[in-house]
Amino acid sequence: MDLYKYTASELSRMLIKKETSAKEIAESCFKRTDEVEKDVEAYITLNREEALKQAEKADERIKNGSASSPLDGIPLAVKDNMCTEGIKTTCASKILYNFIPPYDATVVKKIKDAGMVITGKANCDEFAMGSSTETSYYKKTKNPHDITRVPGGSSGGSAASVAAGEVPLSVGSDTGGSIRQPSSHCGVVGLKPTYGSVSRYGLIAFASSLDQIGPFSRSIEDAAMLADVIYGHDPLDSTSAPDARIGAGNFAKRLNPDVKGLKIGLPKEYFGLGVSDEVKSAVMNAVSIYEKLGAKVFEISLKLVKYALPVYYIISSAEASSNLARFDGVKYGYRSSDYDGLVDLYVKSRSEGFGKEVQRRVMLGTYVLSSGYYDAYYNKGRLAQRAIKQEFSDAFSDCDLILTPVTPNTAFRFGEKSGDPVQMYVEDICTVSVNIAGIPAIAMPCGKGEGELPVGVQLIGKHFDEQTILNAGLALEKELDLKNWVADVRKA
Amino acid sequence: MAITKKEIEHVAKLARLDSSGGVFDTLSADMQSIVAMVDTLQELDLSAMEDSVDLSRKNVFRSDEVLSSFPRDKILKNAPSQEAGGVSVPKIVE
Repeated sequence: MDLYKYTASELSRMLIKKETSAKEIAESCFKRTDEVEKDVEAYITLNREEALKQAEKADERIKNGSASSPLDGIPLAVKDNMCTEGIKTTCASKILYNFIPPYDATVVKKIKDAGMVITGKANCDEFAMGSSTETSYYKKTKNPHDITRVPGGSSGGSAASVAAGEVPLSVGSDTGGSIRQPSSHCGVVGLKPTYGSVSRYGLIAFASSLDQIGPFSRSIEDAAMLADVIYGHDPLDSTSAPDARIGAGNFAKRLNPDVKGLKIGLPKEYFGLGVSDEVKSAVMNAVSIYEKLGAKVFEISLKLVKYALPVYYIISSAEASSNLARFDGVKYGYRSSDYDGLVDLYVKSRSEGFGKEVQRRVMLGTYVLSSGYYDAYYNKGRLAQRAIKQEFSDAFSDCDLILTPVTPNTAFRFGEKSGDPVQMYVEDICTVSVNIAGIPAIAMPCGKGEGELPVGVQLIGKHFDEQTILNAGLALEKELDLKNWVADVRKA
Repeated sequence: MAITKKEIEHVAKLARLDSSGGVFDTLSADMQSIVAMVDTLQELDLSAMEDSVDLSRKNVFRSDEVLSSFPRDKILKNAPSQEAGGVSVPKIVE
């Protein structure tokens, strides 16, 4: 079997047993990339030469018995909104078309310290704003399970690269579902960590009170292994939690698929929301598997879910309008060539450099923060955020995890929703409340819909209780034949 | 509530965006439907909730130490225009 078809944990074991080398693994991944990338277009920038050098260094370490981590020598793609020293970081925007970061994001540093091999920068929606990766200034990433469909977004390149076998692992960021929704559409595992678990230093900020970086993989064990690398306190991120709470470094070795007696809540409201029959039936199949394994599944109610979307768009756009003020054509990135004075330089550089969706969000954010509207929108949004958080916290007094669909439908076609922003925003209906509450959630494949398209299930956990959802994910993975699902890259 | 053309122009000015630019042709219409969507929040009655700060939260401080900074040349490499060790912008004072 070609090396690119293995999971990261299998490759890790093969490296330890010296059955293969990091260089061979990287070469196999790049060969696969050469074969499929013209159809998938998952990457904005490839880092081939440097990656092969890093793989050789990993082989030296492994040979000398001084591997840096269990993932030493394993290739990984990084979403293009995380700073990589010396590698162009565009955020999929024209405004950062030539930005070469002078430093590494903390996550990137941790990845390098673990000996992992960075294969390139993955495409995404511009500034991570979108649910289809169609707002990227550079290219449209395709869903490897049907290249006429979107991979989801915003971390569409991170999800598609893993699903297509271009790389066994990647990292993305999740502000309202940007890891989980593309995971679901591409049939891979995606973990959105508890807020404060993974440093955002060097992540180009979208909505700072919601953004989290997390792993993509083709198995639960792989997700746990990568979480072990990237989790942890960072003094450079003031929202970073203490290590004692985060529980970093221990997820993989504590994996345990025993779900007997596990209390699983099914919020009935999440099964309305326009969820299609094919998604419902795959998700309910996961539920019956848990029941068979001895978990206690019962219905719960989370009534505020219907307000999660407006709350999310108010808070995230408000924060985005403030965070994106730094892109002004002065210090880095795109500067308009034709302007009359300083303010005109700002206005022209921003209007020419930002795409339409980014301008929409900046406009909405500025509007809800502007004098006269602040109380009605932003303040009310913050209050509603607390109410949603409280509702989850009450629900978790009765259950250990909450199970829901990830998206109402399987992957949609290009252009199907890009004309109507509100219809696109509804894609995130099942995922946004998790960010609002700051809790962790996994999306993983649980079935196939029409056209063999992946359907995902979302397992939501308590604050800092990633272990429970990883364990439950492992239990489900063992019962389904969807682990390590490498897509054929085809037109359905 | 509907958002007027004048409001859109005002907000664009605050956001340093050009409201006469091409994307604003459709963006004005999009804003109506987006604002209508976020307006559904107004149905939610939160009058019983106090708008207060959560005092159980603790600030996380790090010690106030001087650490090494980035070399000036490295940072300036990304500047669209530079002069005399700084980024340069159009003249703002006569």
